[in-house]
Amino acid sequence: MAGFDPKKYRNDVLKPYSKGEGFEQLRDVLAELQRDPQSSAYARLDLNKLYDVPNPVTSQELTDWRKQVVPALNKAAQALPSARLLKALLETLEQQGQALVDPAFWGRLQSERQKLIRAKLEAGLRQLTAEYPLGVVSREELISRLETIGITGVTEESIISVAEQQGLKVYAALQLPTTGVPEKLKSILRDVLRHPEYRSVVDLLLLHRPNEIKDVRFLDRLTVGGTAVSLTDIEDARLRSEQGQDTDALQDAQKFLGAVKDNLTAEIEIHHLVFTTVVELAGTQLDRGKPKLEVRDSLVRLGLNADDASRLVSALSISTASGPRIGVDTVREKLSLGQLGEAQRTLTAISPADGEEQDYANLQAQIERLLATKKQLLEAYHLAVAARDFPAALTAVKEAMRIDQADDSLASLSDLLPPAAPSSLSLRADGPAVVLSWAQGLEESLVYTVVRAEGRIPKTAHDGSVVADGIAETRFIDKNAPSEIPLGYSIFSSRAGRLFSDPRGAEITVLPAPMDVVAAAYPTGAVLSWARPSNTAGIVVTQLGPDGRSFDSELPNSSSFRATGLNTGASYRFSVRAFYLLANGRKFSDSVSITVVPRGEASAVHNLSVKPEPARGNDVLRATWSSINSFDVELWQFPRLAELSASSISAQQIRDYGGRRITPLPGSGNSGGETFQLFNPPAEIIRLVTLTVTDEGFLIGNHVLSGSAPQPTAIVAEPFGEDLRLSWEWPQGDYVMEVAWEVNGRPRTRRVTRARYRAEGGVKIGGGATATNLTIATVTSVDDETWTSPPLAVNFSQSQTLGLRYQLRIKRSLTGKVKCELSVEAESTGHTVPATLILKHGSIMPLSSEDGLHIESLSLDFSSGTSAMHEVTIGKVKSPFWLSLFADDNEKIDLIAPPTSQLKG
Amino acid sequence: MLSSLFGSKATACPYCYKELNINKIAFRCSGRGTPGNPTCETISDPKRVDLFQDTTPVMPAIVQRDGAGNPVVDRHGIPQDLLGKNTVICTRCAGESGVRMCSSCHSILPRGLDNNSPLFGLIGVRNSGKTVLLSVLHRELIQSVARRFNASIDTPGGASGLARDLALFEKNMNSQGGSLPPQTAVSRGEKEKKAPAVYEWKYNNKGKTTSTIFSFYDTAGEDVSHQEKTMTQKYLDQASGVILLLDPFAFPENQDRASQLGARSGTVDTPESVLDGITYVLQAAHHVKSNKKIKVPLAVVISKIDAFFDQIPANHPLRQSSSKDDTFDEAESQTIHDHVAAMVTNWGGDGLLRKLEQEYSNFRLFGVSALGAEPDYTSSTVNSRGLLPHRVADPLLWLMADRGFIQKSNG
Repeated sequence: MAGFDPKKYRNDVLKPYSKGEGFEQLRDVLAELQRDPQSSAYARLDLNKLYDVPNPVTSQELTDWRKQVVPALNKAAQALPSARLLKALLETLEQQGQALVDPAFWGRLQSERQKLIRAKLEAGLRQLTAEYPLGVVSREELISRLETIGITGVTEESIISVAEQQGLKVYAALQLPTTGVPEKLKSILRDVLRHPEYRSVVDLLLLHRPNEIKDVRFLDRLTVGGTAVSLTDIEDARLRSEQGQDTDALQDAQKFLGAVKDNLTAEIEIHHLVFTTVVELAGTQLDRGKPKLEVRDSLVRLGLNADDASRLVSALSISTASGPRIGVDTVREKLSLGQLGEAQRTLTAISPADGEEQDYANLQAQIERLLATKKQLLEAYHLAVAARDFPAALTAVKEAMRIDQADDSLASLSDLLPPAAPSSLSLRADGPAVVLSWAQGLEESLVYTVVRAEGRIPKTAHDGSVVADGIAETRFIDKNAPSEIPLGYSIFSSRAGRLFSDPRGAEITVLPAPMDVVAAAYPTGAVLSWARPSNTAGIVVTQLGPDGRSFDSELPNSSSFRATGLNTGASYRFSVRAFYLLANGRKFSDSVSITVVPRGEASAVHNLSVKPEPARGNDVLRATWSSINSFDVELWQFPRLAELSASSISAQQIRDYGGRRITPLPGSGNSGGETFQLFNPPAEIIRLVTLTVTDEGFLIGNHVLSGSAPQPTAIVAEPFGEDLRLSWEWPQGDYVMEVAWEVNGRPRTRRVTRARYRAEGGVKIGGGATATNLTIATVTSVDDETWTSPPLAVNFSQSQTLGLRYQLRIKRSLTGKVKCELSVEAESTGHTVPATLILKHGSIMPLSSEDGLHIESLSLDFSSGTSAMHEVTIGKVKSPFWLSLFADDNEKIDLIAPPTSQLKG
Repeated sequence: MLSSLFGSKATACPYCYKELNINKIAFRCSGRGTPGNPTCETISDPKRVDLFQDTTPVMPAIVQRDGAGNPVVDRHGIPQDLLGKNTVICTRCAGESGVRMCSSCHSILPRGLDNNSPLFGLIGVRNSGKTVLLSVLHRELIQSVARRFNASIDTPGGASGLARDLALFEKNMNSQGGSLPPQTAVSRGEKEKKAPAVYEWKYNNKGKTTSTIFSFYDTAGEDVSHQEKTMTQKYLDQASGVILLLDPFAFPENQDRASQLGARSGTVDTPESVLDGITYVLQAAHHVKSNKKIKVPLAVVISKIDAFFDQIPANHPLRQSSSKDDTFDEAESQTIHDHVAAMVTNWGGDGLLRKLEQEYSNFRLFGVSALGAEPDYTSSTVNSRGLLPHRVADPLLWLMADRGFIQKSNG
């Protein structure tokens, strides 16, 4: 014995037995002992468990136990009622003189308890068997029920053995399917089961084995005679359905088995189909209140196994018993769902509960009223059909279907009605053809038949020539329509060519108009020509001038018309009509119109030029070209790489090339035979083209590049001695820069590629420090054409000082005295420059006039010449030393020193 | 110069700067093979992998073999190269090979390499613009300098190592929104050395092609900041000339100007401390006595000179374009030297000049600008007007003229 554990005892025994059935049994026993202190009622209890005494047990273990159990009960007595009862029971047993610390007592107690349990189990099962008329019960339910009568601690095997001896079969709880018959099979199965030949789905699946349909197991597996129903059975059943005598029932069976074959691919799916079908069947019967035994027997009569049927009905009974009761509410619900038939049957099956009698009566009356309405609607339907009032018939049957949605026969009646006639039929002549169009019907899958007749509107689909049949479109062109004859057309709707609607008809007389009307213009006139329709009596040409006046010309036999005296450049509109002499008089065809502008031969512009508009700087450009008489010329822009090599272009091609017309600015116009157009400079380089507008399209003139190119930025011009270095930030894109400058009035240019710029480290202009008019322009090239942007002026600070160069010669006499000879050259005359000669000792040359000893102030005189000479005696000076000349006014004088070798002494 | 240092038969490898006897060099198999012998195939050269992390498969080095045909190895187990002058016979495939290579680093030696080939080192403190200068110089050499001297200047064996990096840096700087090169990584000893940029300068001299090889090594600024680090720069031992790049903003009088422009001062090292470091190394490497001056020519280059153009007139010698003649104008160079010296003095750098006077017998001052215009220091990009270099090649040309490779003139 592991020893008494008070904590475990409290949790495992005292707490559970403080409530529920365990507590009740404990209390009953104690009450009995109180009434009869010598009673052995305690033997009904599992005292070993209640006092945590193991079996078998030793005396020592019991002695130890006795010392601990009472304190444990005392401690828990306050909170747990079972502890108080068990403590009282313990005291009673001791009062009875039971040797609680003797193992023999506990052994005897076990034996007595087994006998009692067995007797109680048998009695309990006898009672319970009466509550299970189907003779089946689930294991879980049975154990639960037995616990309520104090039968615990008995093995399942014992319970099942005793239950079966009592005629009660114990099974595992049945799991009912959560999904129903597959959707694709539902309606087909419903149709086929209407036939009395097939009692259930099993009859269909085993069509080829009708004699074996008995004792079919369907719960755990689908078996017949112990063998599983396989996919082969389905195929065999289907083959059998094809071989039998052709009846509606067999056709539906064949259809069902085909659908099963197509949709079910595993045996388990077939099993599921049968299981769910039987569940629905049994469930429906139970819902109607059929007795369970009757439902079970009905299933057995279908060939199903009795045990499976019993288990199923038992399980369904439990599930329905826990659901809402079938009653007047069920009937009301079915009515709201439009299930009139089901509602009627359910109402017949139930009896009104107490207090529901009035509801029952009301529902009965409502059902009778609805049935009467349905009957009236069906009568109305038949009357309307007889009167060919199909819309009224449809309305009646639809209303009946709304009342009883479960009545499939109503849908069949609806299907028997022909579709509605097409609406919105229109006819029009298109040359010799007739174009018919009508509105789409409301129903899906409608097809149309077009019937034509001469002089009348066809009344049926066979009353005339069928010119189109079974077309789904709502438009048809009759290209073979006879002309000059009144024609009647009717359109019929139908469902797949069966059951035609009433006709929708209209009439038309085809009067072909002149065809291929063209015009050729010349400066003061135009010639119109056309193709004459056959059978026309003549042609009428209507000329509408720019002043709004019009006049007709009737031409009985001609196919052309010459208009003269027209104003050059004005717009004239000509309408050409044919007329026919019919029985009902003279009738005109539709007219064909054409616009004509009399003028000479069009030509392209060849002298387009573009320049900045002088009055508005570079902000506006001016395009100029020679005007073309009588023709409009438009200025267009295209991408600079557009290939415009052809002589003419169509409007579509212009769009394809990315052309865009340039919007003229105010101030554009004509002058002296020239057209000029002002426009804003494009933001990029584009190709400007003049297009001469003709009747056939556009004539392409010469084109020029124009627009704006990105300019270089951050331009820096730096003098390096006499040279100039120019550098800038290059714009994005493939451009060349053109640098231009002037030296002594002579213009120079240099084109610089990006690679050359990089190789040379900018642009170095030899002698450029004195250059003027320095500019940079962006250059771009397309094929052989080059476009240069307006030049950008570059400002750089040129030296405004007077440039002087000096040479210095240091001489040392034999006595060590130093003197120097200075020779200074000026750029120009007329100046006198004060300067200072500085002496600095050491190896580092002086940087300024303050950086050394002041030797002498000199006045460099260039008033009459550009040279000045000085000789300065310095005296004894120790080497190394430097002599340097500095101008007193550095701001105005640029004194350039000689090589330093001359300055060192 | 080097011939005087190592004797007539010695020079230094332009790739690893190890002493090299041009008459006893290693060879790589030509791959020709001979009938009846197995053909040699390309493999990664362990020495190149070890020194330059170069795993490119190449023909194997020709090694010495014993009578049994096994490679002769040294005490470290490394096969010994078979040394020769012009050609050797491959000890494996028996094919003749004239593919010369350095026995130390196994780099293929340019054909023009002889005992007079100079090695130039470029050193300077962090942010003095060494890599930028070398990148621009790379382009100047193969374009404008080659054009000016009617020469062919190229990287023998194709661009690799530093030469490849310099070409890439220059391309990046010259592209739209060009970015400046990144900081050069600090070397961590011989193992992480990158092959230097080696150039071969060829020109026609009286109908004959004359050539010389020179190479540059780009040092991280940190490597010359301290004397002990500078000592690890082995190439200085072999340098025929040194270019010392100084940041003008590091001079005391220019600190305020640097702050105004947003230029990074980058270091606490002064130009004098950098000069001290290199002086110590050169004195040690070239065994210069304490009372003697260093004879290795030193070009002291003031970089970023464009930042001071506003302080000097347009006619100032520093703002003159380089001569376009095919000679080195000594007078012009001397004039610039004197003017730069005066400017440096004005910037508070007279101490530097005194040290130069005292320690070097041959030095020259230059003012150059690799970028030519102020870059955007915050985004590390070149000025939007592009690269506008100014007198970048002058220091190299002076070193070359000093060696007599190009002629001098006097204005």
